[in-house]
Amino acid sequence: MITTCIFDAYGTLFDVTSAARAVANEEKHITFAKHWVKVAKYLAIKATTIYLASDNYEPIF
Amino acid sequence: MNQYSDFWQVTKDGLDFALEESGIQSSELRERLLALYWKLSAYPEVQGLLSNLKSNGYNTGILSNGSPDMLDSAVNSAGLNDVLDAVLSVDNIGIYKPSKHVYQMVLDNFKCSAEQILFVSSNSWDVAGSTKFGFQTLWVNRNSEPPDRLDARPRWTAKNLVSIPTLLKDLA
Repeated sequence: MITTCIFDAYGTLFDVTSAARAVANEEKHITFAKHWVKVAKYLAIKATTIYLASDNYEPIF
Repeated sequence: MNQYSDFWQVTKDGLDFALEESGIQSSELRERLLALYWKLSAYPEVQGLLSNLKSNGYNTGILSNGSPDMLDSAVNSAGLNDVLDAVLSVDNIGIYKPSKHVYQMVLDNFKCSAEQILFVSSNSWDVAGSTKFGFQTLWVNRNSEPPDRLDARPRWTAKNLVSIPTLLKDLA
């Protein structure tokens, strides 16, 4: 019987694209509008790659 | 790599790569994006879901590769303090998910067994690792992405978090 619900944070509870989307809507950074989706996606992939390659990573597989 | 990198450093490194790959050179834009990363929005269904789970007697928590200060900021910004029993960061043991030592933190904190845990993640590698550890798992696949080719698959997949109370009710 399940008693406890545990959630990952970034991308699961918190919208990691919200920062890039918010900046894309700011007049000061209007040229970022055409880049924000790509930047948000690259950030998620690259961050994962970096910590999986770090000494702090220990594979379960 | 032979050096410690906490999640904030990883985030900055990842953003620098993303900006360079997109041909963007603006320190002002970089600083603006990094500042906003400390107060990310929660997805629309999160507050209601966690409140529902708490009112139905479930323990709730976060298990993240994020650093404690980043997580505290995000939880505070989203107003989730009252609906979370624990916010567990890998910083406490210095190893990232999907290490089994990270998933063990949940059992140590809540004094329960792996099969009593519903673990929810948007990362399919995280779901694979936690499935292999013994958690019951749900993959939140908001963008209809194909799963990573790993040897463990989630028990459930959903487009968002909305269906979790119904899923739990059906299992009870």
